[in-house]
Amino acid sequence: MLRARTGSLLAAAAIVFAACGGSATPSPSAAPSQQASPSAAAASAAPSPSAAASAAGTGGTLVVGLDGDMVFADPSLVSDGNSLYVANQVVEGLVGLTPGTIGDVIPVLAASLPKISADGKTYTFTLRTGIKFHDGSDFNAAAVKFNYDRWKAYAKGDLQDNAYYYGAVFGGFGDASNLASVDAPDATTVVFNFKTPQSNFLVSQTLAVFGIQSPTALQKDKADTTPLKDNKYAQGQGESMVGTGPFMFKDWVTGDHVTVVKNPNYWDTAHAAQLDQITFQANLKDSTAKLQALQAGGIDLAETISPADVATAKSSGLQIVDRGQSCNTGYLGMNQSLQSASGGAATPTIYANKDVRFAVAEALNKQGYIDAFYAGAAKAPQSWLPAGTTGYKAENMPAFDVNAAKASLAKAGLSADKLKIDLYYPSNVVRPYMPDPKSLAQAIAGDLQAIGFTVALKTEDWHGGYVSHATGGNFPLFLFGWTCDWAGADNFLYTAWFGWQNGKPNLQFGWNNPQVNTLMTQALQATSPDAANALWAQVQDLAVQDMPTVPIVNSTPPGAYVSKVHGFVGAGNQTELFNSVSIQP
Amino acid sequence: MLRFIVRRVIGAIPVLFGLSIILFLFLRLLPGDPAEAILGQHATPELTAQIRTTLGLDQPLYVQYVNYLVRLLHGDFGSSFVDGKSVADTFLVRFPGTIELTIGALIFAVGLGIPLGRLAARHPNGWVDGIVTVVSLFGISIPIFVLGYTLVFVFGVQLHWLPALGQSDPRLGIPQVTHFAVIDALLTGRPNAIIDSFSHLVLPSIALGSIPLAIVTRITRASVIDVANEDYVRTARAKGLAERRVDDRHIMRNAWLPVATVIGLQVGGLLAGAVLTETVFSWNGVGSWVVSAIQNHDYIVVQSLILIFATIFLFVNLIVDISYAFLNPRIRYS
Amino acid sequence: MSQPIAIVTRPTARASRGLWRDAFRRLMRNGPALVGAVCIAIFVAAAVLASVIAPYDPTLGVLADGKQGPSLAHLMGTDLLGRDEFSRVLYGARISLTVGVVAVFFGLAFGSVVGAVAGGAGGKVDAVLMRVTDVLLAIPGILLAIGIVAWLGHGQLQIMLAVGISYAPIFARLLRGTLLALREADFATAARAEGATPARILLRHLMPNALTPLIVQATLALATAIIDVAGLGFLGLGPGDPRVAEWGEMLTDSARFLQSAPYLIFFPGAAIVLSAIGFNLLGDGLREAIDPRLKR
Repeated sequence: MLRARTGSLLAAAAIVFAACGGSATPSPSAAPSQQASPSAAAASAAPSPSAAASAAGTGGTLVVGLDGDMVFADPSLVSDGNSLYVANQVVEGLVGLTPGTIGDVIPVLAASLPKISADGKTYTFTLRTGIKFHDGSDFNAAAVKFNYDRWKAYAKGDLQDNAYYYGAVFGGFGDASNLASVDAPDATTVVFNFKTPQSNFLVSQTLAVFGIQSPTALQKDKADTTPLKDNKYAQGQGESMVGTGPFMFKDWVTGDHVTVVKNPNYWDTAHAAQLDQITFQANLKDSTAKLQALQAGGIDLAETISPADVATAKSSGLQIVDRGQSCNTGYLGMNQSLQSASGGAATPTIYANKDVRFAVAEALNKQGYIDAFYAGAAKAPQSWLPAGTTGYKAENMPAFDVNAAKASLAKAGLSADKLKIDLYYPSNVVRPYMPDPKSLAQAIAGDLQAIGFTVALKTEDWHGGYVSHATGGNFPLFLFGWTCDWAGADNFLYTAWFGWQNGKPNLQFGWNNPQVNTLMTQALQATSPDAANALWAQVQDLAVQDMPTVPIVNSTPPGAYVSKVHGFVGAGNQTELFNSVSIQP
Repeated sequence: MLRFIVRRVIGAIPVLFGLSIILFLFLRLLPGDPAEAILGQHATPELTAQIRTTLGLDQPLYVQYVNYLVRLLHGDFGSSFVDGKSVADTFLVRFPGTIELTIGALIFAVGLGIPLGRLAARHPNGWVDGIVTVVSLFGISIPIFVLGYTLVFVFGVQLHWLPALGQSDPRLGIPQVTHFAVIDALLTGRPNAIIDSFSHLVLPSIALGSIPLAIVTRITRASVIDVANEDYVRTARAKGLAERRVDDRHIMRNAWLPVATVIGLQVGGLLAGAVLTETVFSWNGVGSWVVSAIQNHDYIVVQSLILIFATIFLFVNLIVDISYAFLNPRIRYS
Repeated sequence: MSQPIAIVTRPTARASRGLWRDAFRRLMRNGPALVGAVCIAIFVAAAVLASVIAPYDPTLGVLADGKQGPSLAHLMGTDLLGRDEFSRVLYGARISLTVGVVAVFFGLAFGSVVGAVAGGAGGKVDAVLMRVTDVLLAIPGILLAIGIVAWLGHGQLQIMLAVGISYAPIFARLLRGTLLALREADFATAARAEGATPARILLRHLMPNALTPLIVQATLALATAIIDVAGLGFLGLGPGDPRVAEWGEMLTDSARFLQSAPYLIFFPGAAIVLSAIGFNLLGDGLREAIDPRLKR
């Protein structure tokens, strides 16, 4: 599945200082960002295993099983997880994330975090010096400006269609972009000027999409050529992904593999790559094939394995990747106002009745699902956000209680024919929050039958209409979820779920609560993070009173590797760097 | 003979033309949209509409079809909606894998099936015949993916005799020149690379070849039994010719005809089987490509691939028909 | 059936009755075919008596009891959702056999209509219909099926249609070929001489004689139909309600437990393989019984 993991790599808290405020497992909040910075000076204090690993054996080829193939080799044109996973090794942006965290922003090509003007409209970065791109040209302020100007100027059509994140983060291209200008007053200073304050600017720039590439290479290889099938740079046929990272792009055979090799001149010598080469296998779409490839030695590390295989993997001596903080939510959507697929008037459903919504919430044995389908690598949500995202507030969610659920359903007083319901689940897809939709749907149906519903299971292909029907409000009761773009409340609560569109509640749920929308709009425009977080907390309070959907899991998809692999640090958003990895037989 | 070939080639044109129209209309009736595959969870009505415009999906169907056909006649198979790659380029990378797999499976099926069939036919309904029949029935009855997983588990995971996935070991750093793994390995001239590429072919060929093996075995058996009872074979035996010679010169020569027909027909089945085999063995071929293209509503890719499949199928059957004339001089085409 | 027609058809009818009696006698003496028939009979019995024999409800399970190995309480163990595998295999016989039979029936029905019209009419109609059949034959069956499920949505009926349509060209070709051969047979020439209409010749004289190879082919197709349904499930195209037990889907859903719970593959897999072998043996037996030249 080409796009199965779209966006799951998208990192980061909406606001730097409040990153990871919750009770997350690793403790990035205890590690000040400078400490974990990949700079030479900070190396001694780095909490990651990379420091230890750098002393040990080096070299060798690591074979990594990706979930699917890349889409383009120009990181600025991608939004899918596979492309980003590779790009993270090759290109670097001004800022990045502390390895192993989902939202701890640190400077990378910038020497430090930027100075922000009082009105929030100007960000001034000072750059590191002495860095060279893979083609030998110099990294400097002009190169940064060149990249940002290039993206902003992307032509309508192929380029704009694929450069989703630039458009989404800055509100459009060209004149529509909120990024008014990027200035390079001297070789080490870059100034970003915004039309209006943009608090998610810094976190969003941790995406590999905003990695800085060599202007020399981009110009020489005509990287802006359209149609993209004729664009050799974007197709990785020749020189491509010319960044500053610890690995350099070597080749890409469509549908088969991408190879990157060690950058011998990496600027951060303490964190230079230890491996000579990484081959990313792009053809491992089947989870059993992936497990067997690990066991037989065909691959050394699998980005993800099916939770169903975790026990087998452990017993055959494989190491399981612990991804720490979750950055997703899987939920059971309840639609109060069913949209007609043929364009007629919307009809109210039984879920417009709050007692029914609570009955459903109380009927679900979430921990049972987590044990059976997620190999325990998930948590029952305590709110709509995963713990560890900015703006998260632990709420008192309805507990699994069959009797309470029956009582709620009785209180709702539905007639017998209204108890016959349809439950939709997607086919041909595996999502981090939903590794086995078919089994999950059956288990949920069983729990709902237990309190008196009669459930019919329905399915559609994920790309065969499921997504558009779910978001278009055509399903009454459905499995769905959201993988974070960045680890902030705005990304989940507003963008994914409850933000009103065209003056109407999100069609998925038809949850008509104007107060929620007002609070969220205020939070987006809040001047201080504390004020914003208080508003986001209020939204979650209102949600738990109303139960517009039932969050089921926050998952951390497991990966696995053979025991000779050392120094791999997993992250809940799968933004993972291989410079710390070594092979020690 | 030449006339026959020309007539068959001309006859194929309306078939392919009709197929292109049916495919085109059918694919556009499917629910879902390539824009969904491109945008994933970020699909909003505005972005979807924008992408549809870029892809030309907002134009009337007949315009889209004519555009497609014109490009096709210029030898341009178009480019993928989802990853923007030229279908022809990707095809050249992926098709060699499927060819190697298909040839491997055919060698396995024919190389083992004909001797087995002849063995079984020697004493019809004897115990050897019984064993061969049961084995070939298992071959037909076990779903490819179950057989594939089991083969990998036994020979890859447990015994470590053969590799579990792909066409070659990336650690060997074999440059992909032709994308035929075996040829690329031969080009390096390194024995370990050559052994590696052949060892990767073994398990998938067995998995894919199991059904054709069963069919070839059964047809060979039936056809040898048939021919063995013909008068000229009895005469040959009566003349005192060695059994070996009778077998080779008189029986197999004539029994070959139905076997060749069936092998030709298997090519279609092999392409279908490749869809499953390539998934189980993470094989970079066209089978796994077409499945993901269908699921992503990548119309252009699906259209072009199925047209190519159909052309291959028609071509192979033409070859089979021509081979009749060589195998059996009594057949003449005019 | 009115008298005159009966008189005209009598010779054919008598011949075919005798043929069937002989065939049946030969079938009863064919060991492998009897084994096949017994196999099928056992599965049919399981399907019919599932509600009597099955110890548990095949659709309900306790999540915490998932993936338990075979035991006295659960003869074939439990699946991921804690359902009794033995009960599911029994109930699965119902659905799997039905799906197989109906799919083949669809294929037979579509194929026969096309084949009968083509073989009966001949000429241009034949040429056009055979080109259409060529088109269908040229698309690998599984891709055709994937397309049909993508188009019509998930569901049992869709799967049966998908598999059935992919079989239709085979039946069409077979029937057409037989009909073309039979048209020149003596009884057909005789009927034409008596002034029977082409349609009547087709339906009354040719079809009854052309059915035999179709039936044999259909029996063999039953075996592949059950396997093809499983293959579709592997590609994520199973029927919509997975709670209903069906061998193919049970097998494909468990394929990932090859190492952790092999019994979940073994039992539905064995059911599929045994029923496929059963249909194959029976089909071969039928063919040999009807055309004794084949059996030596």
